[in-house]
Parts: sequence; C-alpha cells; structure tokens
Amino acid sequence: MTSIKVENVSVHIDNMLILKNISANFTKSKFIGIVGPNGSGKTTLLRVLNGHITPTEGNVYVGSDPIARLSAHQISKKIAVVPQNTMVSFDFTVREIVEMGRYPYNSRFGGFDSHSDLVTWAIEQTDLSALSERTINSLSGGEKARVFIARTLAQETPVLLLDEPIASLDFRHTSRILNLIKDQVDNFGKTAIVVLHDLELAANFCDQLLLLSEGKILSMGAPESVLTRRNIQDAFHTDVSIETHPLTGLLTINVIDPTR
Amino acid sequence: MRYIHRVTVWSLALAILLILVSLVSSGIGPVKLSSNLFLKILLTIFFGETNLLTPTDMTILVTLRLPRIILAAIVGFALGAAGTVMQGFFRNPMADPSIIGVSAGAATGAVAVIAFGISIPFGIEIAAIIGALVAAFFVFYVSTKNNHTPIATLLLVGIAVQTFLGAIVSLLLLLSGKNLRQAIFWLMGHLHTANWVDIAFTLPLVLLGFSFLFFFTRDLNALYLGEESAHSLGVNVEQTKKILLGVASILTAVAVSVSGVIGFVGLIIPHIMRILVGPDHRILLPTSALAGAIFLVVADTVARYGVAEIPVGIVTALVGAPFFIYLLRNKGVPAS
Repeated sequence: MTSIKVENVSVHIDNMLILKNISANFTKSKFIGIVGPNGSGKTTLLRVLNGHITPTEGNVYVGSDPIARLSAHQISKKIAVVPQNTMVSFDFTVREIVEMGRYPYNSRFGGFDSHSDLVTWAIEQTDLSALSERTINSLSGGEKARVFIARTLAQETPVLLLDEPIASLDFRHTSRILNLIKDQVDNFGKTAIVVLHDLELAANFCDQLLLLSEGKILSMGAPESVLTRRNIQDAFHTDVSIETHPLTGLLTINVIDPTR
Repeated sequence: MRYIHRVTVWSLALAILLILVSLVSSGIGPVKLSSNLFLKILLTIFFGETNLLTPTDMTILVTLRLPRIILAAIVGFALGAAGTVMQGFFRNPMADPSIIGVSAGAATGAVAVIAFGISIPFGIEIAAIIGALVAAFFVFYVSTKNNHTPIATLLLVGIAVQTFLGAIVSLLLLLSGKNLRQAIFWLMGHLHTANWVDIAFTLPLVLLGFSFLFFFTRDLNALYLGEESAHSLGVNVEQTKKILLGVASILTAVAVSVSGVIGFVGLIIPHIMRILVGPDHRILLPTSALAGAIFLVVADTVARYGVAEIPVGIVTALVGAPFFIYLLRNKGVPAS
C-alpha cells in the first residue's frame, strides 16, 4: 500500500542546486539502495522523501497523498528514519530510546503504553539485549547505530529510510543488520530505502539501486544494470573492474589503480 | 507503567518535602515567634484551633512570612521548569532560562522604571514582563530564516542581546541617582517585597504555563535526539520550538517580574534532578519544578535569617555555584 513517488523534484539550499529534476518510483516490498559519491545529494534525497525538506520544485507522494499535505505525525506512522550521526547530549538508556519509536502511537494527553513486547523484540533483533539498560553515550558508534535501527523497528512503519546505517558497524553486524532489513522487506512487506557507500554490499543486498551523481539520477534499476564500469567511471571518476562470481552470483568490484 | 509509578513517587516525595521545608521556614526569621510554632500551625490548620497563635504570630505569618515562602516556591517552581525546558530544547547542559535574553530583557524593563522613578501600580512587573518578551521574541525573530530557526544561531544571538542589554542596564544604573539602591536590590533578586497580590498574579500563570509544557515533554525527549529524528517521530519541529520557547520565556518573565533576576536555580536544579531521575522529561520536568521550589524556599530562608536582609540571588549563587562545581567534579555532566 505504501509506495513513495518522486516527481520532478529539485532542491536548492542557499542558492546551490543540490538535487536536479529527480523522478523515481519507490515501490512496495523492495530493498532500494541509494549510492553515489560524497556530495551527490543522497542525504538530501532521503530528507525529501520523509518530508523533512520541502523541495523547491516538484512533488513527493506517499501512497496517493502529496507529502506536503501530511502532518509530521501522519508521516511518522508511515516512514521511520535513521539519520546519519545522531548525537545525544543526555544519558538516555538504550531501552528509553527504542521506546521513543512508539511515540507516534501515543496521545500527548495520556496513553503511556510503551508496547514493551515490541520494544523488547526490536532490541533482540538488533542484538542489544545485553546493553538495554546501558546509557546511550556509553556505547560505541556501531552499537549506537543499532539502537536507532531498533527504534525504527519499534516504530512499525511500512517504509524505512536509513542513512548509512552500516557506516560504523563491524563485519558481523554489517551482515546482520543488512539481513535484518532484507528480512523486513522480503517477509514483512516493508519498503527500505538505504544510503550505502559500499557498492559491493549494495549490489548484493539490494533489489534495486539508484545511482546519484551531482544531484541527478545517473542510473536506476537492477544492481547489475546500474553498476556498470561506465556508470561507475562517470559517477566516481574511477576505473574499476567488475566480476560476477560464477557460483554465488555475488558481484566483486575492484579499483584499477592507474599508477600500477 | 514503570514511568507513571516513578513520576508519582518522586513528585509526591518532593511535594511533601516542600511542605515540610515551608513549615520549618515559617518559624525562622528576624522576629522570634512563640515556641512550638509548627505544632500550633498544624493544629490551627487541621483542627481549626483559633486561640493557639498570638495576634503577633498571625500578623507576621500571614502578612510577611507566608506570602514570601509561597512566592519563593512559585518562582523556584517556574525557574526549575523553564530551565529544564531550555536545556532540553537547546540540547545544551549550559542553557538556563536567561539564555535567549529573557532575564536581561526583564532587567532592562524593570530598571528603566525604577531609574526614571515612574510610579504606577505594577509598573515594575509590567515593564519586566514586556522587556522579557520583547527580548525573547526579538532573538527568535532575528535567528529565523526561511521559517527555520537553527539552535546555534539562537544561542549566539541570545548572547549578543544579553550583552547589549547588560550595557543598557549599566547605563540606566548610572542615570538612576537616588533610586540606585532600589534598582540594585531588584537586580540581585529579592523576595522581601512579596505579598498576596504577587501570588494571585503569578500562581495561575505559572501553573497554566507548566501544564502546557507538561504536555510537550515527549516532544522534548524526541528533540534531544536532533530535529530530523524528532520529525521522523511525528513532532512538528518548528511549531513545537516556538511553543516551547514562548511558554518557557513567559514562565521566566512572570517569575523574574516579581522576584528580580535569581540566577542558578534554572541551571543547577535540572542537572541535579537529571542525575537523580534520568533525562526523561516526563519525569524530569515535574521533579525539577518541585526541586526548584524547595531550593528557593531554603535559599530565601537563609537570606532573611540574621539581622540584615541579603538579596536571595546572592544566596542562590553563593550556595549554588560551589555545589555545582562539586557535582561536576564528582558526578560529571554528560558531555555533548
């Protein structure tokens, strides 16, 4: 039911063109990766998708509703977000932060139901059970990242937006979190839109990729059609060799070092 | 339900402590009242015994001490609540109710009225409230661009406005001539002029403002994690910022208008309570408000104990600052 459609969206910030005429359709039950070099507009695109930034031109639709007509409260029941680098100045416990995922469902005037089963489940899914009473600032960067992913699970929305969720995760948790997201998409019908830097992981986990370069969509579609040598050269100005493993079908991308 | 349980237990405990402190305080002062005063007051309140307290006791209690104790509690309550909101809002443990120029604005208004010897009823109070709100809204307006108010800009503009108004106050003090002493007393924070009219004026406003803030404690929690996070949890960020800042400024303005600038309550009380009850605003806000009330009643009791009257602002700073440094050294404040 919840797909997100972007129509001719352009975003200017301080007279700089950040996104230029973006149109895309993010359909239900897909794991969509947004890739592209630094400064290509990935984070801005995510912020447009959750209504945090209003585009200078164009429209964003959540289902059939223009996002500008929805209140933050209505959006929060449809779209959950993990922003990049969340700083917490005061010592909330892990559990308290995950419980905040339930805020959209509780009235301001009472109804303090924190839905503890769901919160406990979200904490278990992100491998945080042993840390649940620890304060957020006593955790490492990777552990913190998992806390915010747990919060989006507790928020129970059909759409998840994650901005570099695995940037500070170790090997084990990277695959654990990506598999968790994939499970949410494949088995619970969610739509996940995730900014990723690692092109190989993006290719091997996502159903669809969107390659941004200088605020424009360079390519969108199945990973193997997006991550071509040509596209990567255009976006990253780097020459690479791309191989598909004959048995596993996994993609390997190697930088061809021109100095060698 | 853990939350409701905790907020009830903490609030009740602090409320009882506030009543006890107030009772003890009513027996302390330059004039010695009859012995066993607490017992007599309790018997009078609960059993309607009318002949236990002497007329002198009654006069001093009803016209001097009670209004002063109650006003101290109201002002402390308002400053504790406003301080909690400001620290949460700015995600900055150094914020206090005066951070966006509210206190400086109030001081400018009040000192102007005193310096120029304008005597109209409630002149000082009205000028203080107008000054506070003009300063707060000016800071907010200047910091807002494209319907967006970055918190860092707000803090910097607040500091600039405070410095500017501080200079104006100094200038006014130079011009105030024979009214200098009164102006300085006002500036240092005072409760000795407390009367029942002050209470009738402040109590409803403070309770109203506090209840308003109480319904936004969850939004404050969400704002702790940044505006983008708050937005994704369903908080209308820009509107909530205006409401929180507006109501907290009004609370501070009302408190300052009757008591002058009383520093440190709004800064240290939320810190102490955060160490005791944690950062969840649903518990932190009511407990900080009550703790602020207790702290100011105690500080004001110290201020009027002894022969000469000391402005209560001096007591809060003299007691508050060393205690705060002790806390920083021993408990540490969560780094941002």
